[in-house]
Amino acid sequence: MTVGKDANASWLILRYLPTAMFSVRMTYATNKGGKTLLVPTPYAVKLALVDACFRAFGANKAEARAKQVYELIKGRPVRIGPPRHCVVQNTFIKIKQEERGAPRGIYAPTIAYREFCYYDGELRVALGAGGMSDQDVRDLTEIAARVNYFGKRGSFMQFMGAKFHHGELPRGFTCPESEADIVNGGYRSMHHLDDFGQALIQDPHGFDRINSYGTKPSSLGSYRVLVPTMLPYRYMSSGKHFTHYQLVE
Amino acid sequence: MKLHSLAISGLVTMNLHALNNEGAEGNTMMTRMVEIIDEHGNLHTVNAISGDMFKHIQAEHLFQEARLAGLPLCGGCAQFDANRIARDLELAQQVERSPEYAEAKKNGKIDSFNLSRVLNACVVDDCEGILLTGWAGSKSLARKSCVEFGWVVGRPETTRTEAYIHAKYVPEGRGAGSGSEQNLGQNIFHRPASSGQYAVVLNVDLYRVGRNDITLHYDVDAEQRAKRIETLLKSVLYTFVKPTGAHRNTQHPHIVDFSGVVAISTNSLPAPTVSPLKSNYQEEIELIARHLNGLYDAEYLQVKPFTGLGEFSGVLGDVIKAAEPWGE
Repeated sequence: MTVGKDANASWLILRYLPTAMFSVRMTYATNKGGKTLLVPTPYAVKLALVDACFRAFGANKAEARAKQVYELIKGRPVRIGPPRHCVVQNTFIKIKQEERGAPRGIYAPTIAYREFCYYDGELRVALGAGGMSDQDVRDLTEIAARVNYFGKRGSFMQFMGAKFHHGELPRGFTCPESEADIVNGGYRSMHHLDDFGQALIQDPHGFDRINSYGTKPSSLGSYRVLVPTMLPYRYMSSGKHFTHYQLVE
Repeated sequence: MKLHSLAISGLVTMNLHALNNEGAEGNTMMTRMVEIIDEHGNLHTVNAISGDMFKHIQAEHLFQEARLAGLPLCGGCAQFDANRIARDLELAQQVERSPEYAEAKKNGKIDSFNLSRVLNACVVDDCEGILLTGWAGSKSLARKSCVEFGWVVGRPETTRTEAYIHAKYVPEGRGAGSGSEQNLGQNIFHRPASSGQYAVVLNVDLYRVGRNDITLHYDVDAEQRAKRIETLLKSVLYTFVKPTGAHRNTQHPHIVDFSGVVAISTNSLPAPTVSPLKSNYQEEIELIARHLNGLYDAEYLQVKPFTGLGEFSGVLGDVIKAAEPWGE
């Protein structure tokens, strides 16, 4: 279902408490230089909800429920209300990488640059809820309770609850640049966050494109699009190992 | 008791360790430091151990336990090779030659068939995950790990890091120094030692042990899954009893305490976690469990607090004895 403008009139706000460091690499990050985004992307949130269906339901129901959830959320806007503080750690870690000329599938140890966000405070995920039935809201809330990380594995998030919000979101949430009140919105930084593209939303076989084991591609620019998004994070300080951002409220 | 997932949130007190280092500058080894914010909004620089290190420790214990329990290991894991089953090209060839493989290929189901063979062949690939590229005709076949570790981060008010001078003593020709490539002369070097309370968060998705991620069916029989779950949980327990890792030849950590909470879930609700960097994390976890149980009017989530390694081993030991494979 594609959602029109009325989807912005009400929101289902899911509350999570980050319990470990968060990381989701930027789309254009390389294997050796993995810079992180400061917040989960709408694409990552939608996939986490679809993925949670495979945790919530048994083999006989999981795929059908995942498809239902995909159809329900695919065209809806997702805004992120990041925690009060975010400190990005700059670090090097050991990874395994295929060596040039080595047999395929054999990996050798090397090091790579990685960033991890230490959050202080709750992370809120607002999902456009215009036109959703009460049952849809209940189902989505139950599924959201099964999500225990966004982005890189180990970026644990503890579900804390959900609430319904009527009207415009308050300050403190991300907003696509095209819709943002840049002067008064309290935004101090910008990222390109990925989301489902119109080609994916309109594709009747869209689910196969987001399926890790599917055969259809999900190419960047059409099925997965990068949306310039304003973030309510203000740069505070930085050092050799870190950059500190604080929420503008 | 059929367990879906298990989570541990706790504070481990370790003294004088150098488990995780970022590299060396000259003759000084740099330990891994991260910046965090405390509950009052103040920034602190603290020592931290990456989740990779703890997962490596846990994987090593799993490997040892699997050998003792007679569980299957692939050619790579039998030698504790990080390439795991990707190294086992003999098995890949056997799989490709089998008539079942030809049938799967005809039906376009090579990946699910290969994953099934991987799960049956090796407990380490099953529990720790693997990315296979080009193995037995699978272009890119991922098996996600059943066990996940967050960063292990020092509490700012109770963690300290210092660097200490050590000397490499060479009785003969000590004036030569160690400037040469062979590094044969006498020299001094600086090595860090960190002590403090570290926040641990980990999650084990027990329901995924033996489960094929593509077909969502269990490809390993219930008896074998029960053994694998027992072995996996033992390896998690041993991770805190004996943490392996860097520089243990001279800086084996002094573990003096481990306190926290084991949360278990008998439902698809994930076992709750809260970072122990938060001072009231235990109360928060209990509150979350109470609220989530309240949604269903059932006791799906159980929270078991522990103080000390002894109690922790008792709590996890009871869970290990009671745990049965998940089934729908």
